[in-house]
Amino acid sequence: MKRPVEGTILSVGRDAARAAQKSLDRGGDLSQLAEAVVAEAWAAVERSRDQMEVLREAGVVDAGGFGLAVILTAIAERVAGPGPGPVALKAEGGGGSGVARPTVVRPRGAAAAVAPEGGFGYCTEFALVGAQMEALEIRSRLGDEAEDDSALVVGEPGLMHVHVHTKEPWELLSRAAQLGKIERLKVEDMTAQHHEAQGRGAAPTVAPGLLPLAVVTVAQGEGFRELLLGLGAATVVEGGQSLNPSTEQILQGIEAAQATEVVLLPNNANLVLVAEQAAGICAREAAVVPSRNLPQGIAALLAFDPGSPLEVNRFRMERAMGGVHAIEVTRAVRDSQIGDRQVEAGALIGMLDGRLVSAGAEINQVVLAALGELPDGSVEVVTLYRGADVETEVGEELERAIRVRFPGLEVERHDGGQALYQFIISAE
Amino acid sequence: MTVRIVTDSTCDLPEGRRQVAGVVTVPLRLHFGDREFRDRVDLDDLQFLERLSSAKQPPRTSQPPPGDFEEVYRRLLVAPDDEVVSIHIAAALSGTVGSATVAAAAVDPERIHVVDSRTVSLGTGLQVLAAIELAEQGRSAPEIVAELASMPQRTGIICLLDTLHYLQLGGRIGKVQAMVGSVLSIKPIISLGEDGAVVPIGRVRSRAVGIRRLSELLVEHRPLARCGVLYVGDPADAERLLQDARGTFPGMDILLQHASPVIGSHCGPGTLAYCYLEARS
Repeated sequence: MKRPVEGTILSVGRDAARAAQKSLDRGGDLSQLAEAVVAEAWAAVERSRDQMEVLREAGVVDAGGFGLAVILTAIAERVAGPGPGPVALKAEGGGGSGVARPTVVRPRGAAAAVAPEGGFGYCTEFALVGAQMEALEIRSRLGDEAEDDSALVVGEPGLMHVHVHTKEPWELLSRAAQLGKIERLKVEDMTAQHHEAQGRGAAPTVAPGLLPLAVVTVAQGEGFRELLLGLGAATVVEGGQSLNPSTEQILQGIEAAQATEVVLLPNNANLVLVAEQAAGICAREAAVVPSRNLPQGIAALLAFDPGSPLEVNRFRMERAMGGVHAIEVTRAVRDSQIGDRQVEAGALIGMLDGRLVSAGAEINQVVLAALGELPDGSVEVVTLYRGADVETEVGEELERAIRVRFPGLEVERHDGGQALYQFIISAE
Repeated sequence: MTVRIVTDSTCDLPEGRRQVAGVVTVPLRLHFGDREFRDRVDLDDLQFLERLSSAKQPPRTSQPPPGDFEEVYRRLLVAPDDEVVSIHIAAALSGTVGSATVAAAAVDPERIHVVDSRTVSLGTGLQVLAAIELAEQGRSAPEIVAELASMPQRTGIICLLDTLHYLQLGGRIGKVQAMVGSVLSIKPIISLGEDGAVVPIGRVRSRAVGIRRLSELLVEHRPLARCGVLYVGDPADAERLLQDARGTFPGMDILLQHASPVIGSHCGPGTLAYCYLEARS
């Protein structure tokens, strides 16, 4: 941890911390510091693409660093932004060479409709000078609220910026005064802030739903849409080619389901975070079952029981998801590698549960190789969902090829109607 | 004073246990077209399945005539203080309890206690087993009947079907169809309610996943007092269910039984099921 590997969450964190220090040195206040931290974090994420062998090969940025930058963005918004309430981030489609950086979505109306009993407390900020100890030590000395996840204690021994929400700022301050000198103190009444925000825009009233519980899912392809509706999904949000609808679209899908409680199935690994954000800010009680592809989503939906409570469903659906493998056949958009094999952009590739495992000139070859990666006897049923631009005959051929190579398997064919993926295949 | 236990052929308590305890089993009647068979007397389970597979119409079952019960009750009441507890398939599903009640009234209503088990198959069997144990402890018939009263609501049967065909044939597809209604091939998991209702409780795509799901569903009912495995047709996968249950409930006496025609005709060959009795709270 002392010498972080370049291109990881640790190096992004270190670079962000250095930016924070620089800002402090320049005498910046908390919001300037926050801005500097966020800017540097994203720059560091972008740099990670070239810093690690495996990232360079795949042409992507470090996921951990990306995640940290997202968190820092949210914290910065919270700390320097308008006031209490959850922060929503929207993922932009990743286009061009820059990394897809989330933007902040200001929630319409007050997401927190009612102040908690005893109010929100006081937002208490100050610089603590002269306390020769690390942030962690200071946190523990300042008390429980400073150890809360929403509290910020950043800086270096001797100069720490502290930002804590507390019901008793006088207690916090008297403890801080034991440690060092308090400067640039700011204390704000958050309950008053909240009421002010409420006055500006009343929270939308939530009508009770027509259904107690429903599934809202994301898909692309007419076949998949019909299938999911037939299996009991209340609404299917059109995901577009890259299965990447906006938070807005997901929220609309949730409302359209007209249910008091909702289970969200994103069906795309990149969409899980956005789905969590949508679940967090929507007015309904919503839970995300983090399906990373359509086969997982279908397996989860099969386990859905509208008569059981939300949490029971969440547990069962996640468990059901774990029982299925997904093979996605598409064309490589960039050059990459499998082991020591080069794969050129434009080649047909097979992804097994999100991992690149096979490549070739023919669909059958790619699919059989991917199926071959699964342990013997672990699969009973293979379902082929044909893409929109693929001829029926190709599906028939693929089915035949699978039956020949794996005689024990049951093979089913359906029209998925999806773009981009020649075949999406579930193996269970 | 001896308490004797009587049941009917739908009871899926393994035969060995019944014989050892001197339980008398009165057969229902199975009708394939014009032909009538005494269940598990004239036609065993395998023969029943063979006929079922070629049947164009579902077989009918009917209750034993009261005369059959009368003959049994008279035979069993030897000493003046002997009693009979007669435990049967849910009255909602069959006229068997009605038939037994008529016979009991004719023979000796004071000493013959007819019990509607309000369940089927091994559910009924577990009540018979409880009665056997209580009789061995020297409890009286009224005491035994009182003990059995709390069992139906703690009993459940969860079945994995291989096909929807038999549910359809028997006209019980209703709710299951709605749940399944899909282009995908789906194996339903159903539970059998006390009124004979078929309640869909799950859907899976493969038998292997279904077997796993049955075990997961069984665990949700812990703590259990008793548990058993039922199957229709091939016993191979039933062994797996048995091993799974033994693993989850070490030390428990887990029963294994081929399911009677009352289950077989509705669910069909390939059906696998757990029957459980939840512990008293």
